[in-house]
Amino acid sequence: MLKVKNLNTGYGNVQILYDFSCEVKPGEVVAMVGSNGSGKSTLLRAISGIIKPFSGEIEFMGDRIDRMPAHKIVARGIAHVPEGRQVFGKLSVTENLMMGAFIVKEEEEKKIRLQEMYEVFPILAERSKQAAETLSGGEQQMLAIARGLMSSPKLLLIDELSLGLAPVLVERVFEALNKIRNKVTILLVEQKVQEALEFADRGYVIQNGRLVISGTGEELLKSDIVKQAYLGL
Amino acid sequence: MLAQVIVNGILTGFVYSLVAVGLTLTWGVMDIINFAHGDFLLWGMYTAFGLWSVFSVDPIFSLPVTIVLIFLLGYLTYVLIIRRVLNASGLTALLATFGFSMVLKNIAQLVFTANYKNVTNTIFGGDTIKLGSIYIRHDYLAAAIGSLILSLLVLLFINKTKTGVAIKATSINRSTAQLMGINTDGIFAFTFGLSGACVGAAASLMVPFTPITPSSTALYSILAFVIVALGGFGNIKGALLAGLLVGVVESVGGYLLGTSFKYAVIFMMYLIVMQIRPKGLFGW
Repeated sequence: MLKVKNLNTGYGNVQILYDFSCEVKPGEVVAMVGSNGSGKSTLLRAISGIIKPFSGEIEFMGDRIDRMPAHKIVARGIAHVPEGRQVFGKLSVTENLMMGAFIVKEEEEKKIRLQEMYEVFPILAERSKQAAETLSGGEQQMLAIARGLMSSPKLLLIDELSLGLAPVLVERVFEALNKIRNKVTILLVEQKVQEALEFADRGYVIQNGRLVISGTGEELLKSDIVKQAYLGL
Repeated sequence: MLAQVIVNGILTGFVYSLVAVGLTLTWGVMDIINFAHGDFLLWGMYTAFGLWSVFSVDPIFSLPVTIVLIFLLGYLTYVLIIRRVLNASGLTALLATFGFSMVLKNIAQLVFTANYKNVTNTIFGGDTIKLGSIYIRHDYLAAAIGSLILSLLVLLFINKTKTGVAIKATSINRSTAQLMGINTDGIFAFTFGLSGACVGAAASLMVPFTPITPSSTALYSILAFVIVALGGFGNIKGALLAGLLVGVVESVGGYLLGTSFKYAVIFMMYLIVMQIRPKGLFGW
């Protein structure tokens, strides 16, 4: 579904990712784990077209997308839930969700999806008229995920689900993700290595912008490199 | 007499509002200070004047033409000038619009000379309505009502339509807006056009009572900057109300202290408000 081949990218003259390759197959949940600053978010930004690769290829559903403007990549079926949630604070919850469905033309279709989101995330229905900035961190994260799903993406990119959330909220957000995992392919970037790898089918470990090891979630959790570097065992 | 003065202020205020609504779209929403805003107004007025003097089109009928033409002027200003300097450092975009302002002003002077041009014998002419002891000129009333309707239409558009909300989303967070599939570059170009359309409309509404010369819109431009700051950046409702306030303060101040001091009163008010509420009277 998604193939990243020998990707080199970064910001301005600063290279962040080196010769990075990975793959996401339809229906999978894939986790990118690694410490702060390892290049995980940069990878997602390159996939969704916010930054451009220095070299290498990104292929989605058989087509090159690495030279496309970001708004066209969304139309291809990739939604990106950005780091730090980035909800539109002054807009209402409903308006935020409607912006998530910006590429959808039919008004009826949008309303159906809105109702679906309210069923999956009941708290958002309660707060539908409120400005997004008045929501708690966990609620904003739910909103960001729901907003990403509003475009009915084939692939959902989620950046740092747990950032700034209390552990109990992290659990609740993962529960919410569990409800949608059989409807959409997910590529997840996460600092909380244990939770992410337990949740995912497969994972990749990134260190200093380079791929270190990949495998199923279980394999990685048992591997020495993950145990030593991230789990402190 | 004071009632007459206040009514005059309100009528002018509505026109100020429309010009300021245009400016708040680019300044508040896109964070670009467009010094050529007043010159868009100038070219709108010369367009209305040209249509009137050459084809005898009354300004009220040339309104759609000035709206469309100045929309295009705004759109092209973004595409040809602003877009190139959008991500440049510091004051580049501001200086670019400043330069473009001079270009527009000087072309106007070359084409139309610096002599005052007047549009006369318009449909709404100089007739008045008498309400008790208050006289209201038809052309002032038409300009005020037209400005109010158009300002409210812009407000409605921004708050209720898909494109309008996309403009707000883009102004709040540009890169996240891109992630929603919004073509933010297109949104910017359209917003610049919309800003132009506002002053294009204001131009046609104003020409029956405003003598035109290349420097005659400078004052409107400065007042628009004051109004946008007073109303809160990017706040359309704020610009509408602050425009009225400035209109009334100008009129009453001029009546009480003498016409030569009316702008001093406005700017004093501005300075005082900024000390107390730096985000403007209706700011976020």
